Amino acid sequence: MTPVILGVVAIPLLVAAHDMIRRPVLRRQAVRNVVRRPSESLIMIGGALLGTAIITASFIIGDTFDGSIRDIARTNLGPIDEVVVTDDRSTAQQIAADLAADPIEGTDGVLVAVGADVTISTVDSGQGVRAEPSAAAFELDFDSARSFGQDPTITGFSELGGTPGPGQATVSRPLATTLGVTTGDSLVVHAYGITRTVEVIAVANRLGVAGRTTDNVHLIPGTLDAMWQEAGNADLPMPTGFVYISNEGGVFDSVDNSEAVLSALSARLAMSPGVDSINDWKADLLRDAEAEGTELTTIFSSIGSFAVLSGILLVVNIVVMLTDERRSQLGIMRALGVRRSQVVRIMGLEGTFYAIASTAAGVSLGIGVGWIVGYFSNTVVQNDGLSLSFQFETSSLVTAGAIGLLVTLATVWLSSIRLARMNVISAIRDLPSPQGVGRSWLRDLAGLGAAALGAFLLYLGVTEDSAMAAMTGVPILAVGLIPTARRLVGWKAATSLAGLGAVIWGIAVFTVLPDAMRNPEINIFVLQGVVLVTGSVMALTANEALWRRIIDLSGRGRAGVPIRLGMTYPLARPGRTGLLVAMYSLVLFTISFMAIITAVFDEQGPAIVDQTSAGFDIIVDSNRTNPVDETELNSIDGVSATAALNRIWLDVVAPGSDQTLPVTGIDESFLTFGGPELQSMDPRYVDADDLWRAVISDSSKVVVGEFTFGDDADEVLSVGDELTIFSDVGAGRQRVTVAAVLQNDWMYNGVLTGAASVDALVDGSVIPTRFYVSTAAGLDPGDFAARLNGELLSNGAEARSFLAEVSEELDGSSAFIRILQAYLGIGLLIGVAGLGIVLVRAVRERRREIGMLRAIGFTSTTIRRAFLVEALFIAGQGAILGVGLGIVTGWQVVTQADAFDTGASSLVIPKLLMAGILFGPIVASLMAAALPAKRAAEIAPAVALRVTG
Amino acid sequence: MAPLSNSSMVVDMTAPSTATYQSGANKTVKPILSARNVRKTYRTGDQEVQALRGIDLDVAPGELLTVMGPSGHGKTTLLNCLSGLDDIDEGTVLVDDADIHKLSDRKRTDHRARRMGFIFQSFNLIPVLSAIENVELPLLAIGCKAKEARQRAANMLDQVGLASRTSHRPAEMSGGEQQRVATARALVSEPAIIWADEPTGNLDSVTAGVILDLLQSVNAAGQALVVVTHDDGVGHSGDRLVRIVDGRIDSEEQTR
Ligand SMILES: Nc1ncnc2c1ncn2[C@@H]1O[C@H](COP(=O)(O)OP(=O)(O)OP(=O)(O)O)[C@@H](O)[C@H]1O
Ligand SMILES: [Mg+2]
Repeated sequence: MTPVILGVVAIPLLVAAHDMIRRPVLRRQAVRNVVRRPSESLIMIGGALLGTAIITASFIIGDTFDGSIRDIARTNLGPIDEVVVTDDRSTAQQIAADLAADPIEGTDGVLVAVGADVTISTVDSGQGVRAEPSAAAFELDFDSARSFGQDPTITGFSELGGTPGPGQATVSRPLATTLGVTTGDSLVVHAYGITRTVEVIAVANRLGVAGRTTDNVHLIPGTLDAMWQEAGNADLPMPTGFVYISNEGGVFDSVDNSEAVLSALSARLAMSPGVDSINDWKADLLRDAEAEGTELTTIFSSIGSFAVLSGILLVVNIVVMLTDERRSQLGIMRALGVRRSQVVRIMGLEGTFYAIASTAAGVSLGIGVGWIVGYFSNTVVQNDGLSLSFQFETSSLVTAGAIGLLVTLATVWLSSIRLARMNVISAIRDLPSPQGVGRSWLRDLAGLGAAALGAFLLYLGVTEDSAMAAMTGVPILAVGLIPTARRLVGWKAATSLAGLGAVIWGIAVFTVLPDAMRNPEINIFVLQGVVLVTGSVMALTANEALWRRIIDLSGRGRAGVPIRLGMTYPLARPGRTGLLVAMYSLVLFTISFMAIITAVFDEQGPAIVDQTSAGFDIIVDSNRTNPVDETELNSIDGVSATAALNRIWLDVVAPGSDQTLPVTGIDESFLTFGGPELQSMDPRYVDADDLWRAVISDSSKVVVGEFTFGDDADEVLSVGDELTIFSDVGAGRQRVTVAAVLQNDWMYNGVLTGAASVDALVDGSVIPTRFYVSTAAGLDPGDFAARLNGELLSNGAEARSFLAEVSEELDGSSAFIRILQAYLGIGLLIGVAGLGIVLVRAVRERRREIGMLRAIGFTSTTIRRAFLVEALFIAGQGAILGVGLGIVTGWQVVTQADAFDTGASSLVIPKLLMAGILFGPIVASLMAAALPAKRAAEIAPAVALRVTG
Repeated sequence: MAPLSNSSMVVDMTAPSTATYQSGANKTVKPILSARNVRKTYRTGDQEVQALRGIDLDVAPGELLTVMGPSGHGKTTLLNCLSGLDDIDEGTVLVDDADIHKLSDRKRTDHRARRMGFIFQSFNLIPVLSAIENVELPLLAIGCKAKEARQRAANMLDQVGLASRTSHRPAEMSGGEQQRVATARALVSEPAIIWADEPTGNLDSVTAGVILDLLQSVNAAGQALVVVTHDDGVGHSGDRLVRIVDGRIDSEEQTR
């Protein structure tokens, strides 16, 4: 991509460079143009740099996410490429020995480790205890770890000394920071209900193998097995064995081999007993990183594309304005024998200066914007455990700069060529260019082609459930039919119908094609915005007569003159006006729609809690190795009821999807308050209670969330769907039928089934790691959850009220949406600036007319008002259109189609915010118009009338 | 070389010194406009151009006054200063007994709206408004009711022979038609005095004749007209011809 853009950009740059060096006349003229009016040159550069800045920032945000996630490969994996997870230490050792004896091609090291989920706390010295409930303990030989792979520096062990002895441990730096401990301090390791106190002999940097899972301790091998044996509970899983495999190469380049190594590993180990899973963790992580980075680049650049469009429009306006002013100058040059192509090249050369300057400035500004977005995104993603470090690739800057340069250069050259070719007569008389009658068949043909494309897209939308195709199919079809339809019903009717059709489709598609439009991505709304806004602007423009009627009604009498002038001028320039209106409404549509969706979601907090909490107040998760004891939990003062959930991760296969998902076993206690809310259930059951009891007793019946498989499955899950749950032990596999679908699975229990069925699946008794807790009346769930955390510290318990859990998640997505809204705001800023420029230009263009109006008796106030009305007319149209479409779409999506699965039945309009979104831009536009309006009012008639046309 | 740069000290004796004037009908009437010792100097940087050097001029009601003179000698400036479009440095211009240069901009603007009409060499129509909308503008400026304004504008267009062009935009009309619209616009509010700066300058002789006939018929109806022209024929078709040279009234002759 980038080389292509660079290649295209090179052409005008070479022309410019040639002219610069070999054509002193052109150079002198171009340089003079730049220098003579520095403020206009600055406006030009300012207009052009914004688009580049947005593009750059989008890339940088993607890079920051990509790089930050990729960096986990360095900090948490190092030389580890593939991992064989085994049920115990001895299996791992056996596999490692085999692999060492007969290495897989492309690998250069094998390392055995044992690990377990543990809670780590400080020793109680009277000042309270600090604890990390979700830490990991590992055991491995430090010398082997150092020589694992080819580069000791990436293992994380190169500076760590020897393996900890009895009663000793190394602790990872993040955990040491959380707990406030350092070398020499003591820590308590809690696992299997057993505790061990160890002394910290070193703090390990989060790096490579030593950084695994971020929060960890390393113990002398054998400690965890001993603790497990001491617990004497065979139901608890033994410490896990890991066989780490390093491919040839460093941290990042080694993944090239991953696919081959993974399949070789699978071939060798697939049927081996005791092997839990064979993974390519690093390749997986890097894939995720790239996907995430690309997705964010896409989100921000599609949101930013409005700003880029606005920027282009701004540049076009400025170029036209500058050249208009120089028309007489150009005319004289032409008269003096300068050829038209040279005129173009002077403007092109001048534009190249602007383009280069604005690209440099735009890229720099983009870095700043990217940093700011990254900073705020970091506060959002920290909840998910990711920490963003601002970074970007030089290639991103080059690509963004090249795109920005290309856009600016193309704009400058095209408008220069257009202006140089412009028919002088029609330019002066301001006639619309005549329609090419002779080539109308060509237009018909192109239209029919577009119509066919639209029909094909619609077909794809229906058959493939493609949201993008579904959204654009009908509008493209409608627009494509305009040239043909105008023969039948006339241009006005054809265009209005196509425009209205596009608008109606853009809104109704969520109901008409619910499957294609379910859980749409943000890009779809950008696309929808384009469809709705283009449609409405088309319809509005075609029905210009409607506005004239309004003008006739409101533009009466003396007071009406500013209204008539303020509206007639923009109506006479439908292209320019339509673009401005579209610019405003696109941005405002997206902002207001997002505001509504956020408000609807936020409002849903309590409802979601009701649906998902099954009547309980608090959810408690604990380590698998160190679970909370239900009797102990029940004995805590303030706990009125509990339900234990046996939640384990298993391979679940649905049509079109195969994922590792939670499978959660429940018992009668889960139904104490009636169970969670169901969206739909098999009609063979009399009521929900009947159904739940069937699920608990019948191992072939399950309850799932609609989106348990995310976007991965062919379709969302519904009653009657068949799934297969795989397990490596026991029954091995279980075919199950969906008996009911949850209203939502906010707590991510995945596949709900009977506790006994889960036990049967793994051929043992699964220890519950999740509890739903109901508090005694009068207790605040939030406070009580904090108390539980203290009491159940050694179990690694994480107790949170359902409300807190839900709100935090909602707040997180609201915060992200606010970042996007702010990003959109940049586009709005450019829109306002664009309107300002258009008006400044209008004042210049209309000097003589203004002089004449002043001469025949209109006051300067009338003139000023006319300009303010013009700004109000454009910005107001855009704002009302944008916000109106946003509200209608919000209403449709939330109450009619429920595309977001909010469960909300009524629209929530955040009134104050929406008023701000509606009036803010209007006020800003009036402010931007104030200066040109004042200039217009100050025009002295006698001087203005002297200006020759 | 600027034509007025070498100033002459000769006092101009031809200017009338009384506030009354013998009209073509040889009747003594009170002038509608009366200018005394009007001086106007343009300053650009350190350059000064004395465009008007003491103008005394009266315009009688219903008079057709033509102004001629070499290019750059101050004709347009005279028009602008007497009509109040431009400020003056010295002197007085009385219209309806009020010194228009002593009025506030708003009052002066209002005065123009009520008492004056303008026709320019380059029509100066509003390109986005139709012919009838252009014509009704002066009526709207003086607060005429919308309906009445539309009616009067239609009548006016009819009078200038453009009844069939009411909804045309300027770009859709010939130069002569545009100037007829401009003329209709100047006349529609029935101003007491109409200023025309080379109204036929951009037109061929036939079309110019049409415009001239129009102006004469208006004049016949009792409105005063001040026409700047380079065309001898036009210059001699009025009641009185004033020649401006070097920012002064060089000569004056009755042409009717
Ligand atoms: N705004 C201005 N600033 C400086 N000088 C000006 C300005 N307007 C006019 N002049 C000068 O004042 C003098 C009189 O100009 P004016 O336009 O009145 O001449 P004119 O007699 O109407 O000429 P023409 O017949 O060519 O229209 C000229 O020398 C002109 O250069
Ligand atoms: Mg002149």
